Amino acid sequence: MKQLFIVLLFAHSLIGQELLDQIVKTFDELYKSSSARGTMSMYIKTPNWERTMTMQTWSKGRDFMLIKILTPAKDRGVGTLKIKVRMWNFLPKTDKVIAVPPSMMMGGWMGSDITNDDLVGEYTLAEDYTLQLLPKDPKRPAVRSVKCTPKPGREILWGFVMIDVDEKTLIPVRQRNFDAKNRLMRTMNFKEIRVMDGKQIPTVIEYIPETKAGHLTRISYNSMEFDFPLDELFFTLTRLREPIKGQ
Amino acid sequence: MKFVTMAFRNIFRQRRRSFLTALTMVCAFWLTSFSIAFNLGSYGDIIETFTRKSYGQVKVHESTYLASQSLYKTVHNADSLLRVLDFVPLVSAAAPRLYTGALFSVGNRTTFGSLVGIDPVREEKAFGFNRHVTVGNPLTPNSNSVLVGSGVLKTLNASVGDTLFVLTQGADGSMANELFPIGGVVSSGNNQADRSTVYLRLNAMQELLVLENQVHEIALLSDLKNGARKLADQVAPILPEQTTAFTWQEFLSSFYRAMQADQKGGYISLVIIMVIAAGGILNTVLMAVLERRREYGLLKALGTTPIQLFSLVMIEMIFLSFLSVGVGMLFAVPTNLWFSIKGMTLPEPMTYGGMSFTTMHAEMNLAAFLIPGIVVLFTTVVVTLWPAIMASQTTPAESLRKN
Repeated sequence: MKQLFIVLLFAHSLIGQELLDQIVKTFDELYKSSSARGTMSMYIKTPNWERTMTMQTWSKGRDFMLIKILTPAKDRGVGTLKIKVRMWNFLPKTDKVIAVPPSMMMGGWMGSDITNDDLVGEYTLAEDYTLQLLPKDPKRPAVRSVKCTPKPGREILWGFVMIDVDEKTLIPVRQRNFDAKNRLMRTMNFKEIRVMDGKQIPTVIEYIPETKAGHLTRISYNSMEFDFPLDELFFTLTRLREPIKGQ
Repeated sequence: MKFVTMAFRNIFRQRRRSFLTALTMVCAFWLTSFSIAFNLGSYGDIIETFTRKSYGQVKVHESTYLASQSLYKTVHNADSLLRVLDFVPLVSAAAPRLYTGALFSVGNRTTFGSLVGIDPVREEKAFGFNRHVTVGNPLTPNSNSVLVGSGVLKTLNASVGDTLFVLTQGADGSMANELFPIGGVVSSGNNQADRSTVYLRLNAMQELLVLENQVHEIALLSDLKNGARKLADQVAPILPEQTTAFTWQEFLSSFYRAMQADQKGGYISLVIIMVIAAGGILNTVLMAVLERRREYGLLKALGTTPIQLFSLVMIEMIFLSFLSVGVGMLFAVPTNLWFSIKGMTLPEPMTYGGMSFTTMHAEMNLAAFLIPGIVVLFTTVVVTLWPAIMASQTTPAESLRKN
């Protein structure tokens, strides 16, 4: 009987590890492919103003990313280029490229609740966090939660991150970031799961900073293409400065 | 009345002794008066420089702006409010301003500082701003250039005519960025401001920040000295909702508190002067009483009561102190007047609140004469009590026998 219990326990932990691996793989590869491009809109709301921007994005793996704002007209052509851990902003009005210094990494990108550090973030759940699959919550039976604690030596801002995923699809539904004192700092809600270019992804992500009342940033993916040929040389400062063609 | 006459005559009976006592009182009065006048005057100079040359006596802000400053806490419809303020009788000048933090860059050099939007005409009328423009040209209502603080220019290794890149956040969340030619250099004497401030025409800044017809403050001046409260009260009824007029004591509250604390510290020197003077007065009065014990014994033998003797000594010293205050006034008034006009040049410039001061003036203020007068009289009365009691308790037989 005792041996049967040990076997069952071992089998259970194997299943748990497998589930955890699948959750991590799904999360890390959710929006990142060998290459990706698409258009998205970003709605930012603060107690003082709100605005919506549409933009075009290109990315290659985790290291390369280019974003260009399409609308509003006033900001058309404003862009951000990321190459590994470096980041630049281009301001077409003054024809200036500004390297984002490390001191501004925690600043909001384009006034949003997404920090420059979020965009530059090189970290993956698989490599940089210690993961723990939490027991099922009877109140949320369709959801599994993973507690992600940064591994020692990683320059990660958060004390730990809680990720809730749909048990069937393993697609995240919510991510909560806590600081070192276990205070909830930010909630991200993943919504409206749709298939884009054959990949099932949440097409709406809400960022809610818990320390700033009345602030919200919502990103809505309008179209996405994945895994097409895209050279690293596409991501250059010249490309960042290039005017946007068409309407 | 008889004792009053006697007391008065006693002053002149021992002239040398009375002279020494009076000299102590005159010096105490003179020193204290100058100390108070200089204390009030130097702070008057600082306040005058702060309010009339830079900050204003009163500022109109969004009501919560002072508690926590924010780009979004603005006074709306600034143009129409300024037109109304111009008609307020006490308002002699009104200058609107807009503030934000910004990144400044020339070539490869970058610094962070404060961008201030000013109305060139109103700023010149209110604070004579253009006198601070030491190089280049002041702003005009149509100029598209900026004025940079001398420290900013140095940090950026730039010169007049260079193009300054300005980056900040607009009120709509956008990245506000613009290029401006550097039209001039500001050396205001406020080292802190000169190290970090760039001045831009108000309308250009409103456009840059997407804050049309909005300002963070309207600085007001009146011709009244110490008239900040009156000015604020007169302006208050015409202000729109969520807008408040703050006196300089409110918007420079930390400076005001430091100033008050400093002034209280100044009164310690006054106390020290008076303690020294009190010792001198006590010594001379005590000596006078001891020397005249036979006289008091005789008076008592003739039927003078202890109360009458006590009063005699007290009245004598009160007379002397009045006389000393009068003589002290003859010295203190011209001294204070001289230093209120000519001032005192400091051997080393003094810096206060980022501004440097080279000359300090005394202030012709009633308090500079009233306080020392009262203090000298009060001290005299207090230190004379003991010798007067001693005189009143003189035993006739004993004192006559001793002498």
